[in-house]
Amino acid sequence: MPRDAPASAPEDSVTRFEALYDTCYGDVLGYLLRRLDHPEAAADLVADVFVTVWNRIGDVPPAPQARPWVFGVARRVLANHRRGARRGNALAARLRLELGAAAVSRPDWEDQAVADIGRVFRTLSDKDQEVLTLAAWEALDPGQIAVVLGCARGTARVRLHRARGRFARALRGAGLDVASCLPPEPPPAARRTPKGALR
Amino acid sequence: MRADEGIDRVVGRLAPRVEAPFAHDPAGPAARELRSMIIRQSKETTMAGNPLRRRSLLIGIPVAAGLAGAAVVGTALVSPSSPAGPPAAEADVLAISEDGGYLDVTVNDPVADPVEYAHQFEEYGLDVDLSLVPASPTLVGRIVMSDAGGGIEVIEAPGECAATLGGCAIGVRIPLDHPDPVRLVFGRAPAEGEEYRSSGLVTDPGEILEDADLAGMRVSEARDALAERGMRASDYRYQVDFLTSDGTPSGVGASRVVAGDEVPGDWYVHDVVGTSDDSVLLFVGPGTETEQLPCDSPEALDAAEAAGAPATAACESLDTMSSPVPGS
Repeated sequence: MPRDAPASAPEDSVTRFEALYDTCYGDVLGYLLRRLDHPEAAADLVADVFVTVWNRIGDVPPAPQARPWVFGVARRVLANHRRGARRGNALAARLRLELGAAAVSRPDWEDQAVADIGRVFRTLSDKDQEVLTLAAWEALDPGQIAVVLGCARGTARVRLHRARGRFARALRGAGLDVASCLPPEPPPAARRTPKGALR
Repeated sequence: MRADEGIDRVVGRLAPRVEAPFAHDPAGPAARELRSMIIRQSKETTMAGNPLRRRSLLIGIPVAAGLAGAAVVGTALVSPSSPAGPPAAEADVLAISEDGGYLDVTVNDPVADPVEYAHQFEEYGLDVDLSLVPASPTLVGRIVMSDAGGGIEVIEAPGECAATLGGCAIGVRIPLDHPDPVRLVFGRAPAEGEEYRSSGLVTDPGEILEDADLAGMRVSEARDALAERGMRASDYRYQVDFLTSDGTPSGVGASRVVAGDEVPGDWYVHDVVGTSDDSVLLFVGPGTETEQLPCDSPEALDAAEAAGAPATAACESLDTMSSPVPGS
């Protein structure tokens, strides 16, 4: 009597995980590094993210949603970390050493104009800041942000729209406006290549 | 849309810039190593649960983190039985305190037996199974394993922590509404001559070989270095990594026990794990690098059998072992 093939053969899981890791590793690490004070901490968190992805490889949605799904895992790992869960992932020891040499520079510490923008930005709620940075730093569209946040696409679109509106109003309220805050030279394809993401 | 793009470009100006030559490259050495270790880790977890596993040398921390391509010893470490520790002391073994919806649990006295504390957790409505296992110096009083179905947080040692391999976690914060059973294992000081059940990186400060890195030495040199310190190699393991049927690294390997007198002095030490205050396990092999073998080679069949897998089809059984842990 023929036996049913398993839903996901082990070798498929390994292949799938490796492909996902190779596709998302750089972006996830960039996401974490941009949101952490200590680059070394990103090593532990990136290891946590991909351990989770591997343990849940059967739950990963099909290709177009897989990458934002991994960002969703990263978001939860980061949230746990911020709640005080500083943990050393033993797997990350070597990566931690490598990341010890990483430098994260914050434009709003170096440039007065950007510092002013940053001050206004930080008056927004955490939720607004999150959705704006997912769009602007990670170049995610509302559909992808919905996967990251685990909400409906329409909800993500509305949240992003409102957050942009609140930021624009807050800038005006601080005597700034969007046009005057634009980067001096628009980087080519800025939406496709978030700063700091090397791949 | 134009206004939206404008806002996004303003937010983009705030993006921290990351300068890390290798960091973003998934093909970089540390990233590649992490990828294979994640896959391998789940295999080890599966192996540790295998009743055919021949020897109960169980190490809390995957030892491979420190060096490329080396063996990982089990990540899940304890048998269900309680550790045979010294009797309960008068002093409080654990510090348990409630703090804003969380229960913080740390170890005060890592020698005594915490069995009597089960009821304290019950009073908070939490199902916590806490045990202590003999551990190497940097893991005494530290968490060597926690299994809570996610959602608990780790309390780290204050100040700088020199331990490389996870030996910085001194306690956990458990949300008072945590729904799942929590299993915690802390390291305790071993009794005289007692074997470790959990072991940190053997060359870390405070560890038993903090002054001697045996990895890379010939076995004969390592034996001499151990003898000078009144120590010995209690066990030897021969690690191989397997290649998939198309010849690429599988990220899966296995090690088998080798009798000390079968290990020639001109073999190489690949990795060292503390097994007691005066003994170590040496991972060894004839070359300087861990051997890579096709999964259908006789050696792979042997190693698979030694690891407790059916030897009939090494490739297939290794694939099974490398699959994700069910239900996690």
